[in-house]
Amino acid sequence: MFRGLYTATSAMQTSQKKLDITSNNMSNMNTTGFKKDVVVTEAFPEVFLHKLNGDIRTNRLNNQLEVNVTRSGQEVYLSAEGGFFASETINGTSYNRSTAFTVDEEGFLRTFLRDANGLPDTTAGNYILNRQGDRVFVGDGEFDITPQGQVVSNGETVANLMSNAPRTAIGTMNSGVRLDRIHTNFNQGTMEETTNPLDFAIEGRGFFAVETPQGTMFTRDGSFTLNSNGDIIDSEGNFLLGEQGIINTNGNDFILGDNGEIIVDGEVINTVQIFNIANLQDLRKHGMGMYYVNEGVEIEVLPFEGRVVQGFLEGSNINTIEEMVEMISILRLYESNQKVIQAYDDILQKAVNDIGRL
Amino acid sequence: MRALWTAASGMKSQQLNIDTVSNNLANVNTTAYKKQRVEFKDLLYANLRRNNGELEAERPVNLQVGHGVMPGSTARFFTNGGLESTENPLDLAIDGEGFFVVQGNAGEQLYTRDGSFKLSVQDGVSTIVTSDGYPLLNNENTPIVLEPGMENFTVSELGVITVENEAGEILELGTVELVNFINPAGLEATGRNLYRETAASGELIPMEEERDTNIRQGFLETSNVQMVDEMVRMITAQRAYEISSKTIQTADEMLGMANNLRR
Repeated sequence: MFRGLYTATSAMQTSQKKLDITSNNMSNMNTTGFKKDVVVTEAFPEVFLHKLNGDIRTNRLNNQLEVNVTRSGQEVYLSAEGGFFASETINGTSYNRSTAFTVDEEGFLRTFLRDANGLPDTTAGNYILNRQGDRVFVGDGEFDITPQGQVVSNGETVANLMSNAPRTAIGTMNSGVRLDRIHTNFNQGTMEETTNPLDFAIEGRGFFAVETPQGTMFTRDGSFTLNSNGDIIDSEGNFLLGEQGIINTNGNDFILGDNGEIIVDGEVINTVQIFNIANLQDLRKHGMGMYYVNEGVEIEVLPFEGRVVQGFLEGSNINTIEEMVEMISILRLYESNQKVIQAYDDILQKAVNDIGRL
Repeated sequence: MRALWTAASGMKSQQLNIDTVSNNLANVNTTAYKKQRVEFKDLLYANLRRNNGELEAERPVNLQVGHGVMPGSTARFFTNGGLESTENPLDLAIDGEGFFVVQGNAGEQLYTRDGSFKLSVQDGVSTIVTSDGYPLLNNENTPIVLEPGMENFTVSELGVITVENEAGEILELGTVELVNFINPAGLEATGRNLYRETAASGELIPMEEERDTNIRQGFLETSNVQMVDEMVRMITAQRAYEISSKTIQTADEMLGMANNLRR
């Protein structure tokens, strides 16, 4: 059957899932402290297309083995007219004309994404493969890439990144797109004044921590309240954590300092703990505006640089126009892939019913 | 198609938002009305599975889809409203924190900030009551009763009630009881400007003599609803409702297209 039929199907399935996420963003337009989700899609691996027979050599694919190397900091960008760079993806090896990678924590070459700070993040990257199909280890030393695509470290050739296409290959193609990950955009939301002394908002990076039955969770939703003891709790009844444990105001009026100090009658009785989490990509949404980290993952906390404001709430960081445009493009992408499937259907219809008719 | 239900949750939540805003706006002239606001929370997240058998804990990246939004709570704001002069001696306003205590029909205590009291006359004896006839209580938890002939009902800033009898003598009839709660936002509103104590509000605390709160005779507390805030909230709620309905349309169109694959 036609390969393109399934390519279009994968695109339709992916756009459905993308709409699910856009729809969740839009539903939470007025949710306090909500951070929008962004979908990252990935193409299926580029695989070689072979011709079945014929002996005309496909020199065109393998001539001019010159690799263009561009480096910026730790990141290396390679492109070649004549050869291919292999990388190991979830669905198999992908062969591309150009690639970008950096060295991961263990010393392997790996593709990367940018994290919230704009730094390369290799935790989910694809390993770069050498000509033999093995992962490339360079360690933590310096390395160079020769114009022939060889990785040279300490004067020794470690690997050759350039793979030649098989002799029968006529090019590469991929067969669709898949949802790779959902990335949460932690940009600041709008500040809404409520004048309620128990509404806190964080300006800058950081999270409140609340004690839940499932363990400590993090939130940007600062709409707190008091329980009958005068402890500060969230609307689910979880305690807000201060540096000296649960924050008890005894029902007294208090002032919130810029760094989260709870001041009653000019005396600091406790300080709201603000976690400025460095590894934002490890946070998972729990619902109820809360985030958790998976077991075995440690959070890295940086000093808090923003400020906490009393009497304000942070709105969501949803931009209606962006979401609307996103929704339109999802719909049209879906529609055009539907048309592709219909076109294939037409072709099959002709093949089945019209060929051979006298 | 999850998007349909997600967007529906958005529309339902915004309906509740409009309900609350319209209740606030309807009560803009209600004595001592305290505004409410709905707070929203995102619903639980589902983890999408990748089909290559990786375990959840080992997966370094996020693949979670949310299910929409739900109302988390309706919070009531006990900030003070403005004071409005009425020159009626039976109108009392609380300038500061606290609540008047009134006796309900079943003898239970109810709390209010609405100080538009009336006289309920029976056999020549007048009792100070709310508009609904619930007697106001003094610091001994008894109704405040005026015998026939008593005049010049005055309440001092600290709540001391004095009257002048027929002979022109000034009598003291106790103090207007004021109470407070650790968490007034936890009080249950029973309608008619009355509140009831709950587990969340904590037990009542009688307010001491040396307090910041004063009672103003001849004044009423207006509602603390800010029209502009409510209008802005109404606009955002309406637009959020609209955008969720557009999402439903989009999801519907996509389902229609899927249906039309086979012509």
